Amino acid sequence: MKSSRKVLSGLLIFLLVAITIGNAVFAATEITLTVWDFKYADPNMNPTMVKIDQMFMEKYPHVKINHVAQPNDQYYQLLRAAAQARRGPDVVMLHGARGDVYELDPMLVRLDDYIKPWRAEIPEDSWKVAATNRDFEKGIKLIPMTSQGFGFYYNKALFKKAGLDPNEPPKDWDSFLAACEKLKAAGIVPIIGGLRDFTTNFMFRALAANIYGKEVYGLQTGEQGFANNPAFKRAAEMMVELKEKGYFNPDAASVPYFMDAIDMFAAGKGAIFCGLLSDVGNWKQFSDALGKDNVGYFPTINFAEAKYKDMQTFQPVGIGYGVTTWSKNKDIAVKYAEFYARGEGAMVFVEETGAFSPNTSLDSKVLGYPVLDEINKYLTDEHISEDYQTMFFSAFEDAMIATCQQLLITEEIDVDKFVEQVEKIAVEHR
Amino acid sequence: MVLKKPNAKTQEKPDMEVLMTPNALKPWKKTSLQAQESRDAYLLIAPLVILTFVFILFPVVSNFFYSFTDWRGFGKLNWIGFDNFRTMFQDERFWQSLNNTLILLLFIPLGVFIPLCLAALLRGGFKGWKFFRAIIYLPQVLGYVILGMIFNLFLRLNGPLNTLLEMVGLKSWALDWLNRPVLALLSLGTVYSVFLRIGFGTIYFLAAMAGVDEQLYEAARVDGAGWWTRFWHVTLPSIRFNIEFLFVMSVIENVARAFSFIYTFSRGGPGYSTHTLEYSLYTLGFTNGKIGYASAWSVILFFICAIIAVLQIRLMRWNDG
Repeated sequence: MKSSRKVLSGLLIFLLVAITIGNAVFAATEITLTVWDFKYADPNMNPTMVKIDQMFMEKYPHVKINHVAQPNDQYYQLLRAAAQARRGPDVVMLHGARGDVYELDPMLVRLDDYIKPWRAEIPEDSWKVAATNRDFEKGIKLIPMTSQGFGFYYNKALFKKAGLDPNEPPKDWDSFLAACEKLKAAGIVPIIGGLRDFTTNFMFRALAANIYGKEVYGLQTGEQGFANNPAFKRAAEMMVELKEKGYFNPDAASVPYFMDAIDMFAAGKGAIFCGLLSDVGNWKQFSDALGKDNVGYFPTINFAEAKYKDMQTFQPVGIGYGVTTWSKNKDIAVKYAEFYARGEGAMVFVEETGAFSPNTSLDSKVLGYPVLDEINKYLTDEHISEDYQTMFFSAFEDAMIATCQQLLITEEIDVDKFVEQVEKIAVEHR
Repeated sequence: MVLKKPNAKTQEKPDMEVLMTPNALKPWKKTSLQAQESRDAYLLIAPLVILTFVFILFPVVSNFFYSFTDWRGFGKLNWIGFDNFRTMFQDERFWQSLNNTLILLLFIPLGVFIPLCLAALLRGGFKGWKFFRAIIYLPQVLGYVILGMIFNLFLRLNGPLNTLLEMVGLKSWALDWLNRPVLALLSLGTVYSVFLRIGFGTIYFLAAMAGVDEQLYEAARVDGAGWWTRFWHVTLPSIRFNIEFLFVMSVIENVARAFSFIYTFSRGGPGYSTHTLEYSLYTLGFTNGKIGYASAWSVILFFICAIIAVLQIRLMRWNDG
């Protein structure tokens, strides 16, 4: 009896020791990668990102992904705090070509050697933006996941209903106004969106492509400006005219762009919408909601004062992942960033979210959305003008929105004061 | 054993009991027990002193330091003297934010007076008053973030308030509350400085009124005083300290604690029309990443709060006198 107890006790102790050692060994080999992200909380993006993380963990079974959804509007201050403390995430999502990102340069790993084997898959223009201050000498700091841009989507069925040719988007300012007038007369809201925040901001960015064209980089150096540019002033006058003629939805001042305005266009409540190329509010979301053949696209509005025509405002890198210098698992962290930019992970990301990938090996045409053909017509070197927002710190956007509200909602300032104020905030955030 | 420290009064009239104690003739020489007590006292207050230093004094002093630099929140900084202050005084946003902050302060008397009247009415104890007391306190249970969002939805052009006004035939009163600069600021003042003060203020004054001697009311009634006279001549003087306290608390709530409400209520907009000093310094410091410049703004906010605190102390001393 006694001996059997001893045997049992011994067995129990052996088992406990074995389990403890086993756990310790397993814990030593398991890696947890912490990822900070401002897209993860987005209900349109989250399921896809969860799926891609799962795929990555299946591919690398010893890696556990701790994906943290950070608030969009406080993201960079959280990153600054992490940089100050030199601890926090292994992988961080970043916007391409923002002053904020370049400022975080000391916390990001130089990726040039890591990407060497597959660098050719992404155009050098995108890699340039992913390098600190667009300078290859300073090193590539993020792996681009998306390209981004803004343009006008329109509902072909509503165009038809108003007696407009659904396959002929407005070519210039006069035809744009005429289309708006016809839509309004037919009881259709011509421009759905809102004056509250991003609609006007994105419209200015779309118009700026025609104003600044290839000279947009001058906004960063100060060679180009807003106050001294008659075309920019004209763009502001055009916005006021659209508002005064009642072409925006009547409750525009109260409607937030994300996601209310986007959902309104997707629900067919208005004819024209200034949307995005990637992320959300894009070609895929609208085509899925309104019908693949029912969505048209034009990148900007041509007007006489602008130097360029048919330009597409574009960010060679919309978002991407970078790796932090304090990460203890840099190699696998880079693999994770790469997984979202190329191969199976990236394809799922493109297919499910409608992101525009800068990776040339991914062909979104196979998805069969006719509006993509329209968009792709403008995504050529000849038509691309880099988004002017990327010439400034991201806070330029908030200041611009507040100033647009003063012009278009509160009417506290006139067009002259508006351009003067935009110039001032440009200087402040350059 | 407790040693009484001699003061002017005890020196004039020596307490015999004190003089009889062995150490009384050598009052300044500490016994080992006294030293131990002293050490214990310092030890006990040490955590609080450390916490005060780390979380209050150090940030205040560093804020003053950073206000003279161009620090962006991390990385290196440069000493730039009074540049931030010069920029601030030339910045239209500063004057607008200061102006908005001061306008919000004008709502405070209403935010104190309404709870005072409600407390006086509820104190009378009409039927179902406990239910109304709970209803009045309800907004206080929710945080400012939630309240800000609720009122943002409530006051939108197509929101419930305007729908209600239209339903009762007051269509001309259905305004764009949050998108006209003056209306937005007035809405903020009415909701934040008045409506949200009612719950706490009423309960606070009810508690204060419960402490007023009932005999004073009886005497007033005997003298033929009506409700208003009793309220004016008995209730108000008896709870004057509480009124002053709530007033000062409301000032602080408006000047330095409104951020979370404004953030969800109006985001400081439209334009900059509901930016207060506190809200602006947040956007400058944490959105724009200009910690040095925002620190200069908070120096001004610090002095405004300091002036209010000094006025409060003086007022209380004046009342005591």
